[in-house]
Amino acid sequence: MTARHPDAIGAAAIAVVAVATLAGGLTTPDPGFGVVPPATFPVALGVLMLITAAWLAFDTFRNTRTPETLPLDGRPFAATAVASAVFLAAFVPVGFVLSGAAFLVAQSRILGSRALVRDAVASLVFVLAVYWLFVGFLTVDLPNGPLPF
Amino acid sequence: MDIFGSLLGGFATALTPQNLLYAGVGVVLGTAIGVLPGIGPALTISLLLPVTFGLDPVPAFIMFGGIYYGAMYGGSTTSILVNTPGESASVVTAIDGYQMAKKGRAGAALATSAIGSFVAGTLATIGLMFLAAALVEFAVRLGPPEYFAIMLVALSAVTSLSGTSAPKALFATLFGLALGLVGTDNQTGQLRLTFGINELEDGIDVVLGAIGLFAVGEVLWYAATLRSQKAEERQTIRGSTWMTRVEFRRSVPAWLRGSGIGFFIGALPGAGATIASFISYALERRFSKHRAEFGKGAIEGVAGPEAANNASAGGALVPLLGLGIPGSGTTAVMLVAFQIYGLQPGPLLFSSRPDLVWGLIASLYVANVALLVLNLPLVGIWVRLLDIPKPLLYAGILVISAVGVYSLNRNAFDLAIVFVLGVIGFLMRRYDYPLAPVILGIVLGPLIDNNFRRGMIMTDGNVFALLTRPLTLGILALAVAFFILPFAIRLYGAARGRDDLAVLAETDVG
Repeated sequence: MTARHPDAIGAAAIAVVAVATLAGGLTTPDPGFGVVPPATFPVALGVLMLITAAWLAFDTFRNTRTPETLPLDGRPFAATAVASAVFLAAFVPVGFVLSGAAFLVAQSRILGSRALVRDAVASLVFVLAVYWLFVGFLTVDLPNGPLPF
Repeated sequence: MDIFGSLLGGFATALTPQNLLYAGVGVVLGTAIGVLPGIGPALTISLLLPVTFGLDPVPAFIMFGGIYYGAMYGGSTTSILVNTPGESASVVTAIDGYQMAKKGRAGAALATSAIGSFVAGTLATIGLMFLAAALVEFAVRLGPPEYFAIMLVALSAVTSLSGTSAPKALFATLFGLALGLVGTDNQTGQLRLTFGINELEDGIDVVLGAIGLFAVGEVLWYAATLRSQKAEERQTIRGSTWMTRVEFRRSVPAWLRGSGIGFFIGALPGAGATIASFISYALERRFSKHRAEFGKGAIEGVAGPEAANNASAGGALVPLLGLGIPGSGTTAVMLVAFQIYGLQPGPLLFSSRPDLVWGLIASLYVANVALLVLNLPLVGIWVRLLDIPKPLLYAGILVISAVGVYSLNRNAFDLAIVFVLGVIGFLMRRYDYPLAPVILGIVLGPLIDNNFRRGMIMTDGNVFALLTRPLTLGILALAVAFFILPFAIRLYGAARGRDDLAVLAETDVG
């Protein structure tokens, strides 16, 4: 096994989730009524996750071949993650139309499009169409932000 | 239960001009989104859930029927013409479908797929009608221990049939169950697994799970694998979109076999369209008189799997409508759709809202006809959807996802949850952890917990007393069998040198 075997890291990550689940379960207050307290199922899940982490670690040590994974394109991935986070954070305060159109243009560029004008026009048409569909037709409220719509 | 009288009532509901329109819109939307790569039925339904918010329950579920069948069919078009399956259940279709298209028989491949989907969808809806009705008669006799055991069967099956690594699939299930427990315990009012975050008190909706893990995860995946994306080699439809007489004769038995296999596998909790299509393909290849053509453009290799994956959609509705228990990620999202309207599928819904249940069943027949009428003539439009520039398409998916998530509860915190789940979904996909068990786990987590605790009240806290109920014991044995089955198949396949069995045992249902 190499030092950076992804499944070994996966087993460690599962163990962390298991400990968090166990901790969450064990700190659940018992109201003192009912046959099975509310903590039982989360604690059981935490224990089973710990066993799963050990199982995966065992499999990883036994099977030394590192699994093949596609090479990652770090920059577009990181930029997409940041742009998505900013878009979702701006969705309510900035409003759907502005945040949506800006995100579409930015994300298209991150993913390789170089047709800025086409993307800007398409983005605006798209968000306005979605806005009309949801707010005008389906009567579902979407955040306006500083715009009147 | 008078099935035919109820069905007639259902048709009276489904065949109003307004509901026919909703069924047609559902089919078109479901197919259009199902065509797009990486978007399967569970995500299609999650994304389109807000579209139905302004509707009454009956038209909403009629539209859902159309979306569901449309999404199941949508993946086949791109499998045949572009060799890019829209979702996992259409992977097998691409093997022979694309080869047929390369030989100038795209029209015949699309025709056998569309007619096979119609035949299978119709037969499966007939099966659903009888089996769900029979299950309802049986289900009223089940208590919490039996429901608990049935849910274990679903989880056991989805765990054992997902992915190539048992511990990874098991973790995915446990993780989903833990996510499902987040929030207020409805038996005691205590907060569980919220870690002091007030916004988590209402729990994590399965729609957030589906959109986060599938949609946001897919966008991140596309960005992370930009360089590895292959250029599309799209085939065109030359000549007629119809089959020759020989092709038709070869397709008919494959449609019928695929329909039977698909329906029964779809009705099994945890199995589903992908498994059904793989089994159908394996059987068609094994029993075909034209075995040498398989992999080079055998029409049975398209007809059987396409029928199987559409029939499994009808089969998957059996446990949902009959017991109120979803057996797959897609039906888990449909369960949430019912809950949004304050409805609980299961035996009581058949008696309390027969208009809705039978209207939905009748609308599945209507959706099948709409699929057949719309899809072959519109195939050119479905393919044109792939002309949307990929950067805009993927960015658009995230924008629609944000709208869908926000419109659920009008809560900005849900957007944060979806982003975190998207990153988790990306990591799980990258390192080969199946996603379907997470979705099923989110829905079944609180249901299993509730039924177990109610069962324990019945036995005064004696867990072994549950095992004295023969039905509970039998169902629990089934859960164990489901968990062991893939290991047994793999061992048997290895011992007999049967690669196809090993592959089948490792098929990802996600």
